[in-house]
Amino acid sequence: MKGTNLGEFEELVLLIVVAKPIEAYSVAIARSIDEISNRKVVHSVVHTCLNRLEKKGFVTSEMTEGSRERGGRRKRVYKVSTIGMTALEKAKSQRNKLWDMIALVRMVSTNG
Amino acid sequence: MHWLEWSLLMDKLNKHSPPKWADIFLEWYCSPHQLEDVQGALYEYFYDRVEAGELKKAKMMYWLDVFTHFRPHIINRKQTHYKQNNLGMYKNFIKLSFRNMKRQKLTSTLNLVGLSIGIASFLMIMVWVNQEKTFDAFHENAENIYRIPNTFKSESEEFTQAVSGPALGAQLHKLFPQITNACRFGNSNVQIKAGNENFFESGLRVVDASYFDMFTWDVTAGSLADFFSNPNSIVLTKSASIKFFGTEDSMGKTLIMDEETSLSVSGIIEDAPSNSQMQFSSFISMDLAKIIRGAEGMDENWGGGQFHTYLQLAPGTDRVSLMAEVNKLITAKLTFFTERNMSYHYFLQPLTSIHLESTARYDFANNGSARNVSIFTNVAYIILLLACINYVNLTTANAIKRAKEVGVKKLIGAHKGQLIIQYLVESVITTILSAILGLGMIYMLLPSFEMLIGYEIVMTLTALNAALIFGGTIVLGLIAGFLPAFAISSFHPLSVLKGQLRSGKKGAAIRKSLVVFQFTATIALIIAIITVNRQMSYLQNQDLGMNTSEIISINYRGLSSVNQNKDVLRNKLLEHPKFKAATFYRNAYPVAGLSNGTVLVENGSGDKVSSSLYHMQVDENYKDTYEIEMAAGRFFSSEFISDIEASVIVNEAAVLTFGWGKPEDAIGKKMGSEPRIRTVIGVVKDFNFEGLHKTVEPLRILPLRNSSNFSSFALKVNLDNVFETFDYLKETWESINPTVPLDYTIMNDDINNQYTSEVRFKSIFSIFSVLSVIIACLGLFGLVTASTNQRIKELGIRKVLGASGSGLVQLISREFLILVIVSLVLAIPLAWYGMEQWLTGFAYRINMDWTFFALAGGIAISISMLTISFQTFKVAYGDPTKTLRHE
Repeated sequence: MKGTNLGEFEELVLLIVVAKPIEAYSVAIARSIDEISNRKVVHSVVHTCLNRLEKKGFVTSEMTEGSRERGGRRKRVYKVSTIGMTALEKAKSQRNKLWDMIALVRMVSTNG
Repeated sequence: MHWLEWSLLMDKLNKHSPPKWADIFLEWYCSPHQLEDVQGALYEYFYDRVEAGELKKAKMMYWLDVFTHFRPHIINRKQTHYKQNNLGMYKNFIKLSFRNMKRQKLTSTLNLVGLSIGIASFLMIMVWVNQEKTFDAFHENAENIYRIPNTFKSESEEFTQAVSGPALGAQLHKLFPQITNACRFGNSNVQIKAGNENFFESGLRVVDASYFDMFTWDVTAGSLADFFSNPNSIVLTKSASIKFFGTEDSMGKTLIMDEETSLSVSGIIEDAPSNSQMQFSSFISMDLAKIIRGAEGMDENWGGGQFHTYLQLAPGTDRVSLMAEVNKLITAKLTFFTERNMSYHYFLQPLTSIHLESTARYDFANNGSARNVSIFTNVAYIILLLACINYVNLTTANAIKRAKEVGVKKLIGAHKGQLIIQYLVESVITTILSAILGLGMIYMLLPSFEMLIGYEIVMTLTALNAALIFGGTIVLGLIAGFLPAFAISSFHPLSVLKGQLRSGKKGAAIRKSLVVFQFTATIALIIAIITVNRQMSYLQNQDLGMNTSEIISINYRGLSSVNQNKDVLRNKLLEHPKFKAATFYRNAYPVAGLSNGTVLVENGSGDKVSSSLYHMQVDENYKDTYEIEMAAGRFFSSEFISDIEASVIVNEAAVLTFGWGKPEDAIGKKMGSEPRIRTVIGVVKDFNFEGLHKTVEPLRILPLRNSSNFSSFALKVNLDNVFETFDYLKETWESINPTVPLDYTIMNDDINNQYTSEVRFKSIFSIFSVLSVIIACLGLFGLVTASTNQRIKELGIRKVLGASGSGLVQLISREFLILVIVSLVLAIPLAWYGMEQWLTGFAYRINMDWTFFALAGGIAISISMLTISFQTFKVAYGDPTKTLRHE
């Protein structure tokens, strides 16, 4: 299937969306990336990534109703979708398989 | 409060704000639906930095942020995430349509009635037209079957006849491989005795066995292959079987034909359907007919014209080259005719085209007219068009009432396109409802329509038909609704809400011209009805050159038993004071059509030319019985014994054709060839022996040589006390000819029957024209209503200021009357041209004069005045205070 591969950055952003079910909007997600990965990330990059994720169907978004905090402007809040979740799990299981293979090799090489 | 206003407020409350120009740039490039989110995020960063105490840095970063967000996905104006609730919108449209229809009851009713009449008329006519165009298309082999009529040329005339010589049907398919099958089809009149009853059977057809292979008929009893395995068989239709035996189940029963031939019923088939030109009630085989008539050599006879001959060709045959070869062959065989300068040229006539396009002589009685079909097709479209115009006019006239609705909708954000769709949905729904009503009308009125036309309409509701009707209805709705939808949705919301809206000069002009169009069409149709009516009466009252009002005609098919007693019969009948004259003859009943034959004639320049002309064989009483006048000479008389062998009488048309000059000069001229030469002893004045459909053609009257050859007779009878007269006739007949059924008709009835197709045309045309008048009046009524409603205030004020009721009526009517008069002026030349074309198709016709147009104009004006006055009176004489309170 075209477009269902998660890039590394996309996976990161998507994981954060899942991890922060409340207030998962572009600025908050950018801050979380800063905290977790210690790299300074430009907001526009995050915004673009979220847009791409939505186009691929991994997230859905809504404008918050009634929130008037940042100078009266509403935020766009993102939620993971079912295919998004599936994509994440697929990526995770792929990685686990690889790590398992590595562990096997190590075992063999140290013992041999 | 809109988020813009709120955020502006908030920004003002915060003491610092991001650089204005950066914002302007952002607001320019960012797509509107993302602006709120993106700008909000940037503002969040900005205020965080400001709170952290870095005002300058915040402002610089803001600029940076704005630039880094200058990316395609933000600039992109495509709204990919919008979910449009279209389905809900359409459901709402449908609901609204019904509500609107209930609110505007008058307009809706007028629209529904007009459209349903239009649709019903259109469908009925088109169904009939379709049937006319597909006569005999139901046969399996219809595509490959052709009839072969021929054009006959002699020195004196040329005409096309539908019948051909017997050899063609018997031999052509053996000689040419492209002809896969052939058959002949002929008429016969016989007497049938079944059980103890006697009948005359005029629906007997003589056919080859291959007839049932070529043509597809529904067999209910017996098998096709065995129909004629026993030559003494007869095949009956269901009705014939019931007529002869009282039951459909008559297989194997016997009947006696013409007092000598015994036949057994070998098959029963369905009655001839109305959409076939071949009408029949029984069949016997060609082989049997050959034996009975002693015509065994018939199959070698290439000339003459006794049967309709049909050929079935292999698909893809080159018809042109085939017929060239056929004609070569036939010309070679017809040396007898060629020597006398007579030729037959045969051509192929596709089976399905015969009904409408054949103009040959000796053709089927129920042939239709291509001209009528096209006339009615045009009428159908006109009626539908009129109904549509009605809809357009009525809806646009009432558009003002909907103005507020449109204004509000536009204000809350409806696109013009959405509004147009809404109004189109309304018109489609109206059309669909009208179509349903129309179909209901057709269902109820179909029997009356069939009676009017004279034969059944076969309406099969195939899936294709249903789809066509449904699709057509929707298309109609779209077309009719397009203009009104456009007009209504163009209202400018502000001016509407302020109440400034007026109908607009342009709109009114379009509506008025549409009304003029409607009325022009209607008035033209009225003129057409008047012309058609006058022409028909003319035809029916035309002097035929003979007395037809007192004649009873009796056809006994020349049965010898009757002929033996003919003088006894004649004398007995004339004893009665009411019976004034009687004449016996053969093939001389002026309504039934005459035979023709060829004869050598010495023409005016002294040459001997062979001519084909009609002939009849009569006794000396013919002239007095039918009250025909002589132009010169004398009629046959028993005083002149030589008459029987040596005399002949012709009519004035013959004198002209042969170039003999004046009638008197014709006396003494000779006709015929040795040994039978006859001299002209008299010339009769032309009388219409072929009805008024044709001008009088040349005629040869012969005396009957052998008294056993008479086949029918006519009585001149005083028809005052009809029943007594008939009783006497029946008694006398039965006493002298007990075994022969008495088959009599009244001549006037027969003559009127000749005009059935014209009479039908007149009735149908009148009905549909009246329908269009009704539709046009509905439209006018609606328009007047709309106009008066608009001007209600104005009229109320005028009344208060002292205008009289009649003055107001005049005011309103005047503008509409002008329209009607303009239509009248336009309609007259149009109708005149059209009717002239129609009238030229008649041998005897009237001329249109100014009275026609005056009458039509008078009718149009009175009808319009009536329609207009309904509304105007109500308004003009109403209470002005009520109207002025109308806000």
